[in-house]
Amino acid sequence: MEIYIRGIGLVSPQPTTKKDYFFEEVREYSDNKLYAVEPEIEMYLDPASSRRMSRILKLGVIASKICLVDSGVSMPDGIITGTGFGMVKDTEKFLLALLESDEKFLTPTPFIQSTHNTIGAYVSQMLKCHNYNFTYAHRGTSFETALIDGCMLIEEGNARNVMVGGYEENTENQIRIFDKIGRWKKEKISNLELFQSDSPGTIAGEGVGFYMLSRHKGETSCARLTGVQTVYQNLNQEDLVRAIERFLVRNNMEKNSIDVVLYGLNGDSEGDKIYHDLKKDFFQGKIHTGYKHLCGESYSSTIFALWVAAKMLKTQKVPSVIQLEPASPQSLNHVLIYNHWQDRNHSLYLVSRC
Amino acid sequence: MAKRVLVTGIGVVSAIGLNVRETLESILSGKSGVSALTLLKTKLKNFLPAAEIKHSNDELAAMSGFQSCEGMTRTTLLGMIAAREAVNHANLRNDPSLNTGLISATTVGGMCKTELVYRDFLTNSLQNQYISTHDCGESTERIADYLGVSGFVTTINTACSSSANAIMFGTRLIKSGILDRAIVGGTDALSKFTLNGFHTLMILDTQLSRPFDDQRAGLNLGEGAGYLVLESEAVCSNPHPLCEVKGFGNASDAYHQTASSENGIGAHMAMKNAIDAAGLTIDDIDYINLHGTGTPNNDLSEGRALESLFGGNPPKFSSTKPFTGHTLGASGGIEAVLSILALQHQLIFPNLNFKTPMKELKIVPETNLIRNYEMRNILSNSFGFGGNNSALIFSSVNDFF
Repeated sequence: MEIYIRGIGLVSPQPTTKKDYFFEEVREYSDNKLYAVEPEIEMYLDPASSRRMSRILKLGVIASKICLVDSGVSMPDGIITGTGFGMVKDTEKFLLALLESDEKFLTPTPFIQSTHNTIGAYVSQMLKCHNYNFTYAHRGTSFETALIDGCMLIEEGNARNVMVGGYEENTENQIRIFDKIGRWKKEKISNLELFQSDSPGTIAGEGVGFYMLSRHKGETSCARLTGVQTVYQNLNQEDLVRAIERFLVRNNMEKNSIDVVLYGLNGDSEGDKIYHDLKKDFFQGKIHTGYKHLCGESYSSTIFALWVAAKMLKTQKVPSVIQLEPASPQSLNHVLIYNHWQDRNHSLYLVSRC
Repeated sequence: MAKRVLVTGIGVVSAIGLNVRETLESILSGKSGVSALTLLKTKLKNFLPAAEIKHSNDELAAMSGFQSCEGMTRTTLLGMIAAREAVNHANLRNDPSLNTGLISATTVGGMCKTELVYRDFLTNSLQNQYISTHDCGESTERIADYLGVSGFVTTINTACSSSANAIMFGTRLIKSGILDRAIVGGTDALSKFTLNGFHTLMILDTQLSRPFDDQRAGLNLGEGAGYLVLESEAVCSNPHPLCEVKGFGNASDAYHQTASSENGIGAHMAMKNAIDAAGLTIDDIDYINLHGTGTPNNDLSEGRALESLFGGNPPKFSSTKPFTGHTLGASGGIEAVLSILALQHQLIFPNLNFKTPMKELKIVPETNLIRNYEMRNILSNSFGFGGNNSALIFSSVNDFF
C-alpha cells in the first residue's frame, strides 16, 4: 500500500494545533478527565455560523480546516469520518429535553446535530464537496475503518486525495455514566503518571483529527500509511502475535525493519498485560512508546496515535515523554501502532518515512 | 475490479413480515404495516401512525432462541432475526480459509433502551448493563457473535442511507480482495428519540404517508432490519445466486443537514455514479425503488433528480415506504431485499396512497402491482441527513455451473 499522509489537523488535549508542535510542553491533568485544548475559535469560524454548533462540531470543522490548509488540498475526493460514540452533547441535550418535558416543547437543532455523520456532512457543505462521504461508528475501530475505506478509494483509482477523520467527545454525564461500569480509575492520578499506575481503569480522553490521504507524495507529505487493519475478536498473546505476523507479511514488512512500536497502553492493569507481553517478547529490542497519557482513552484515541507516529517519522525524533524505556534512536523508518479496545477491537498500523 | 459480487441470501423483518415469505405476501396483498403505535410508550402515539412490529422484545428474543430479551436491545434483536435468515438462505458454509465480514448499519443503535433507562444511568445503578448497549457498534457485535463472525466487523452510520452504504462497502471490500464474503445490511428499532426528532422537524404525516403525491405531508417512521449475504464469484459455491450487486454510487448533496437541495443534485449524482460504475446506461434500468419518504422536500428533490437524469420517460418507479414505514438505518437493507424480490419474481411493487401527480413534475410512480414485468437491472435509492445520497443497482445473473 502506497498512501501518503499529506496533511493533518488535530485538536486534542495537548496543543497539537500549534504549528510544528511535538511535545515541547505537555499539559498535565489531575482529575482523570482530559478535554481538548480549544484553539481560538474566532480564528477559524465566524460567530454567526458557529452560534448553533456544538463544541465538538466546531472543533471538528476547525480540525478539517487545519488539515486542508496543511495539505494544500481545497477539494478532497472523499470525506470519511469515524466515531464510536458520535455527537454526545447534542444527543444528551435532546434526550434530556425529551425526558424532562415529557415529549413536549422540543427544538430540532440538537436532534439534527446528534447524527454521527454531522461533522463529515458539515465539512462537505462548507466545501460544497459533492464527493463520496461516509461515516463509520464501530467502537474502538471506527477511525481505522474510515482509513481502510480511504485507502481503498485511492487504490480503486477513483480518488487522489481523501480526507479521513475521527472524533470523540467527552461530557460530564458521559464520564459519570462510564464511571459506574468501572471504566475510569478510582484514584485520581496525574495523566503523566498513567503508565506507572497499577490499578484497574483508565483516564477519559477526547479529540478530533483529520488526515489527508494522498496517492502522490507532495511537499507537505509527512509520512506514508503503509498498512492498517482491524480485528474483531478476543485475542490471547499467541493469537495476537499470529495476527501481527500475518499483517506484516501482507504489507511486505520484515519485523526487523520496524524501529518503533507505539502501544495503546491505557494504565488499566488488566488490559495492559497484552502490551507488556508484546514488548517483552515479540517486539524485544524495539523502541517502545505510548501515547494515551497525553490524550486519554476513547474509542478513537488512535487519531492521536497516528499523529504521533507521523511526527516521529517526519522529525526523526522520539520525544522522551512518549518513551516507555530510555532509547536513543538512530534513523526512524517504520513505526507500528497496536491498540485494542477491551480486547475486542484490535487495530494495527504501519506508518513509514516518506 | 473484475470480480463480480453475488447476492446469495436475503433476510428481512419489518411491520409487514418477520421473514422474506411474509414480507412478499404482504406486498402482493397490498397490506401496509403502518398503523397506530401500541408497543412504543410515547405521548405521540395517538396522532402519529408508524410501522411497528407487533411483537414484544421477549417474543423477538424467542425467535432467535433466547429465553428472554434481558441485556439486549430491540435493535439487536431485529438485526439477529434478519441476518440469521440471510445466512441460512445463503446456506453459508463454515470455511475458515475464507474471510467473512459483517458490515451492519444503524442510526440510533441502543437508543430504544437508553431512553428508557437514562435516568437510572444518572441517578442509580439498576440498569448498568445497558450502559454499554447504547453505542452503534454494540448491536453489530452481538449479531456477529450470534452468527459466529469475527475478524472484519464494522458499523456504518450515515443516517438514513446507512445500510445502503453497508451494502456498498461490503461490495467494495470483496472487489478489493479484503473479504471473500460479507453479511451486509442494517437494523433500527423505533424510539421516542427519533419519533420526537422527526416530529420537531415537522416531517411526520399524521395520516398514511403518500410518497410523490401532490398532497403528501410527511413520512411514517418504521422499524426493522434487512441483510444480504454477498459472495465473491471466485469463492461462491451457490449454484443459484439471487443477483449481482452491479453498481453503487454515493454523493453528497452538500446543501443542508436535513433538507435536500431543490434540484436534487446529490440524488442525481448518486444514481449516475451507480449506473456508470455498473457499466450500464439509463436505458438499462428497468425499475427504481425510490427513497420516496413522502416528505414534501425529499420527493420533490428526488423527483427532479429522476427527471434530470432519465428525462420525461423514466423506467417504472415506486416507493415501498408506505408498506414498511421509513425504517431509517434499516431502510437501505430492507429496500435492497425488496428490490431483489422484485427482480427474482419479475414484479413491480405499487406505490400505495398515491392519487394526485405533483405539480412540479411530469412523472408519476407506478400504483399497481405488475406481474411478469421483464427486468434485469433495478436501482434502489437511499438518502440520509447531511445530504448523504446513495444508489445501488441489483442485476440478474444466470445460474452457475
